[in-house]
Amino acid sequence: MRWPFRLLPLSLPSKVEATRLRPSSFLPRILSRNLQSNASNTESEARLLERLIEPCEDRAAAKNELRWLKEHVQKTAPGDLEAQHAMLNSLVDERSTGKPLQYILGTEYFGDLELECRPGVLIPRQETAASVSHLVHLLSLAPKLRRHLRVLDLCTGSGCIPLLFQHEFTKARPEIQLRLLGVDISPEAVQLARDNRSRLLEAAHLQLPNCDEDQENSDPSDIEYNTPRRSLEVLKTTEFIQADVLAEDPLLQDPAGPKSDIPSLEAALRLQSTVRLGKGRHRTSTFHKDRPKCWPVLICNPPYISPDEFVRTTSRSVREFEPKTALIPPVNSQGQHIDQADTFYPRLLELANTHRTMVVLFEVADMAQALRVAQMAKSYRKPWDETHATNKTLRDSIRSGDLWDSIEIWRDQPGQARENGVPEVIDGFQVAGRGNGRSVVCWKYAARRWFGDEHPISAQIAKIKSQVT
Amino acid sequence: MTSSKLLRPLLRPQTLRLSKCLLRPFSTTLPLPSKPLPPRLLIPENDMIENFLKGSGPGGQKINKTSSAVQLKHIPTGIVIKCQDTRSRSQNRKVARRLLAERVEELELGEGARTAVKAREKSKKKASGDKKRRRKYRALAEGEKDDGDDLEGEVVGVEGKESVVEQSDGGKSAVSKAHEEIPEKD
Repeated sequence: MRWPFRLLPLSLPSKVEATRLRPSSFLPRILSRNLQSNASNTESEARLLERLIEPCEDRAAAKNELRWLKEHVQKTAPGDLEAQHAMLNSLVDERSTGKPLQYILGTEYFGDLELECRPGVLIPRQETAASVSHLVHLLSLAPKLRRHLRVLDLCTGSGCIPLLFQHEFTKARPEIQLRLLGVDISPEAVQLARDNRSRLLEAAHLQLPNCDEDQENSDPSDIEYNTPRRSLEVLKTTEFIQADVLAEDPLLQDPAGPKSDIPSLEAALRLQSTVRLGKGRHRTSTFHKDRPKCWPVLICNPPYISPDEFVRTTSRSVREFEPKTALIPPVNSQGQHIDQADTFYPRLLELANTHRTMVVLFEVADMAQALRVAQMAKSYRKPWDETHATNKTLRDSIRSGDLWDSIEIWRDQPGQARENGVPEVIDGFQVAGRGNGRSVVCWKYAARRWFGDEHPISAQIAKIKSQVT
Repeated sequence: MTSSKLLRPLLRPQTLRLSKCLLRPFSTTLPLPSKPLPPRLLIPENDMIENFLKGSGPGGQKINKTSSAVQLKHIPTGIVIKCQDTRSRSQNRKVARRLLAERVEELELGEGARTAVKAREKSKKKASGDKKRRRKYRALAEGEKDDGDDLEGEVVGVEGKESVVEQSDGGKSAVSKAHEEIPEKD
């Protein structure tokens, strides 16, 4: 009972101290210091700006970055002007070496989300967010989507893609049960993705309606009420695991072959599902049955820069500060006929095939690579189905899902119409939006059912869009 | 499952609960309802051209630009808005749309636009505040002249975080007129 009293001060402050603390005595001092620093600020600011211009490449960008750095400094050391000044100086020094601003500030915006960034993990790019948002937008327009939607994101990095997918899709279609899984080879990336997930979980908790009594009284079909709750549910089941996407399935592999510490994707998926199904209670209590081999939506932003392009075309901050494993794919084991930049795509198409995928979204570097990948998707056949495929007609192969039904190329802003309004077609592939070639999107025939009828996907989407507007 | 349920009340902001106790107003006089503002203008997406100023050249993994600038062009009026306030592109898009809607509204409605009404109200409040302050300091100056320890009333600092507003053609005169004709009466 005595301990709380220890916390009280032993004596009240003396009268001398009290007079020293009078606002009239210390306020003008702070004000004058503030004014002083303001006077010297203009010249020191110009110097800081000069140092930022080199890494930013232009004055307007440097001005913006200086403002953001200042805001960051003011937030981390509020009130203490001298500390702020010193900190700003050191941050500008850091930035002038070319270190990305996102690593310095520790976050980057991806769509509506502010996600954490750390050296060793690729910084999310805005073009990726645009592609993912557009895919989510299209899927959310589909009237006949199943009640469960399972989304697999490979090479997930900071976990940005599944987290943004969750955020936007739940807002549009809270009634559909989402299940998201992110996979990356790097342990740092998996850790960061998990941290970003917990960051969003906390935010979702805060958004939840505040009283338990309210929850029972409110209408369960109310969408406004359901969205934060559903977000929480989905985020809780969202997982990030470590696996090597390129490694062969050990069941198909020669047992005497080389073994690595990082499991292959198939092995990791199996392991994850057996852990879940191992406990009998969990099997019935989880709302989704965990099928390791069924992922209707497959998204991947793999490393896609060849070593040659890495030297020639990347910017300094990327080359020197971002992880190479996230940028340059390893040498292709399948032979010389595939460019090193394209190493991942044949494997991804194979995975899409074995995981009953209906729609894939792969990011690419430019239009040339987009066309190469689209061509790969067009000519992709199941390796063990070669003899059957020759007997089938093209129509049959598409209907049975052996071949892709429609293959599209999306530019940086896939939602925007072209200036002249004429649909663009390159080498027989539909191209959507404006900017550089950014991603390849393929739909299986079965995905048509999501949109309600038998027309090609693009025509259906256009029809639904015109109905909405 | 049970532990998360137990923890849930702790994770919630306490202010939400406090707000229930604070529903009772501090003063007994009801605040006067201000005049309703005209409704916000919503510009259809088809009427604007959006541009993310990133320049040409490679993108994606090859480049790491921090630019999140958004440029909006309103096709019917030719008004161009550029916004690069925040690091978030989606935030900048929202701000740019709001600014564009305000400009277009000023052009259409002139004196009746939201921004004009708001500015008028603000200047009215400021004028009456100035008047009160003048009255107060006059009274103080007349009263006790010997007390030299009084402090400055307030320090107003405005940090420049402006968004660039450009006017490519037409409508400039109308917009600037809307700004100038703010009445300076009590």
